[in-house]
Amino acid sequence: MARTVFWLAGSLALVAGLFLWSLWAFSAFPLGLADAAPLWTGGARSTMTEIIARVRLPRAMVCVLIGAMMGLTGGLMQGVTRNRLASPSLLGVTGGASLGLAIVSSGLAGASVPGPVAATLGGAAAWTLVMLLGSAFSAEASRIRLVLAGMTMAALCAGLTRLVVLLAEERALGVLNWLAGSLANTGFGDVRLLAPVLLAAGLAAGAFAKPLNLIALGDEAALALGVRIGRLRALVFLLGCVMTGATVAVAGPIAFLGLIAPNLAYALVGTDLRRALPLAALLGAALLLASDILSRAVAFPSETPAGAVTALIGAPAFLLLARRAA
Amino acid sequence: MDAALTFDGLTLGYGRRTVIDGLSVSLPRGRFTALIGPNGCGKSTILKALTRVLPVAAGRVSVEGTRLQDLSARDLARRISMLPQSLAAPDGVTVRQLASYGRSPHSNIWGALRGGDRDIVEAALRRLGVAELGGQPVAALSGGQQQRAWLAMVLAQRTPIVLLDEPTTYLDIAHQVEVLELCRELAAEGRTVVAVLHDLNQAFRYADHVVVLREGGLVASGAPAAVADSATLRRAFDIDARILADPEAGTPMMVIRETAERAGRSVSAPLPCLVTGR
Repeated sequence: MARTVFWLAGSLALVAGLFLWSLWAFSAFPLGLADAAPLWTGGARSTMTEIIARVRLPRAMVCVLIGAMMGLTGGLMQGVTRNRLASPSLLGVTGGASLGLAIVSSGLAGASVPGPVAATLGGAAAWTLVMLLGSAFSAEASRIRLVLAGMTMAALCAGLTRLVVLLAEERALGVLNWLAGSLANTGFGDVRLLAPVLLAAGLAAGAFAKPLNLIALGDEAALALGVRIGRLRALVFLLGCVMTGATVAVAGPIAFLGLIAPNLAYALVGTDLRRALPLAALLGAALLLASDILSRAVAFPSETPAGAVTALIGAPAFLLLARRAA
Repeated sequence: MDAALTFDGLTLGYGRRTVIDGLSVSLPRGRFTALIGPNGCGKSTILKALTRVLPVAAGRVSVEGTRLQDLSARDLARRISMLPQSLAAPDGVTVRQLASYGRSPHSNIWGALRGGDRDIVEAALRRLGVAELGGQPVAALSGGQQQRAWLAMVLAQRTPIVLLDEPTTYLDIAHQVEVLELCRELAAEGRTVVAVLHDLNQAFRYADHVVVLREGGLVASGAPAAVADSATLRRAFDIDARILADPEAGTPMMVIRETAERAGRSVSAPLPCLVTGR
C-alpha cells in the first residue's frame, strides 16, 4: 500500500514537472520559466507568454490526456484479454482507427462523419476481427496468436491507409504528417474533446478494476465470483475503441504507449488493477510528455513526430516483454 | 428430502453436442454429495451450469428453492462458490489476495474489504493452513499449496453451497484426504458440498450422498450403502466389482474382481519376479 502511494505520488510529481518544463522546453523562440510565470502569477503577459498560453499549454494538456488514455486503454485491454502484450497498437485498434480517419479525412467517404467517430468505428471493426482471428476468449487462447492476429491487422490497415492516401492526392501530405503521430498542431479544441472522454473512461475504469482482477483467475472462477463476463467485455471493448478513436483523431497513431505504461505499472505496484490502472494512466501521461519534449529536441529546432519517439522507445520494450510472455 | 439443488429435466451441451440429457435429481441440503461416473459422463458439466459457465438448454434448475435464471450474478455468487478444475495462477497474485477475492460478491464496486471481510479471509487462510504463506505469490507455491490457497478463496466466499470440480485429481494421497475431510467438515457445519470425484472408494467413504452418472443420464442416487452395488457399478463403468465393507469405517468399498484366466495365477502363485528377486 505504501509502495502504491509512493509511486502514484512520484509519477504525479513527474507529470507535473514535465508538464511545466514542456511549456518552454526546446522552442524555436527563446522561451523560459520567466515567460510562463505570468500564467499563474497573473503578471503582465509578453508575446512569449501568449505563445506559451495558446500553443504550448494546450499541447501539454493534450499530452497528459492522450498519455493517460493510452495507459488506461492498454491496461484495460490487457485485463480483458489476460494478455500483457495486448495494447491498442499491437491488437490493430490504432491501425483500424487510423484507416477510418484516413478514409473520412481524405474525402473518399462523405465528410459527414466526424473524425473521432470514424476513428472509433475503424478501431472497433479492426479489434473485432482480431479477437475473432486470435480466438482471444477461448480457454486455450495463445498470447502470441492474438498478437500475431493484431499485428497482421495493423499491417493490413497500414497498407489500406496508404492506398487511401494515394487515392486522395491533394490532401496526401496533411494525412501523411498526421499518420506519423504528432502533437504539434493540437489546441484547446482537442482538450475539450479529450477531457470528457478521459473523465468518463477514468470513472468506468475504476468500476472495471475489481472484475478485471477476477477475470485473471479464469472464466469459471470469475463467473462463480459474480462477474458478468460478457457485459464487462463489451463495456471494456467500447471504452477501448472510444479512447483509441479519440486519441488517434487528435494526434494520429501514438505507438507502444498502451503497452509500456501498464507493464511499467505492474512492475512497480503489482498486477492488482485497482493500483496498476491509475499508475498506468499517470505513467502514460509522463511518457508522452517526455516523448513530446524529446521529439522537439532530437532535430532541434525542427520537430520530429512524437509517435516516432514512442516507437523508438516502445519497440525494444515490446521485444523484452514478448520474450518474457511467450 | 430437503434439497439444496434440484434438477428437473436438465439438458446441457456444448454447441450441438448434448452432454446432459434430461437429468432429474435432487441433492440434499447440508450434506456432502459426490458426483461419480466415467470420463465424459457430464459430472463437471453439471457444475458448469450452476455457475453459468454453460447455459441451460432445457429443464429447470432450482437453487435453494429459487430458479437459477431468477438469480442475479451477484446473488448466485453469494449462494454458490466453486473451485474450478484447472486453476490458473495469475501473475503476481498473493495467497492472501486470492483468498480476499472470495469476498468480492459481498464487497462494493471497488472491492474494498471491511474489517469483517478481513477476519473472514484470515480465518479461511488459517483453516487451510496457508496463513503463513499469505504474502507469497500463488504461482510460486507447490500444487498442493496452490490448491489450498484456492480453497481458502472458496471458503472466504461463505456460500451455503460449495462446488468442487475434481478437487483431488492433482493431489497426493495425504492432500486428497485433507480435502475430503474438509468437505465433510463443511457439510457438518450445514453447508451443501458437491464434489466431482474419481476415486469411488473415497466417494463411498467420505460422502453422505452419491450420484452416479453415465452418458449424461442418471444411473443411481442415494446414500453410499444404497448406491454401491455390483450391478450399479457395472452399468455405470462396465467394471466387474465386488463390494466389501471398509474395515475402518464400515462404508462400502469396491474391489475389482479378477478375471477367470488370471485368477488362478495371481492368487495361488506369486509373480515369478517376486520369488526370484529379479
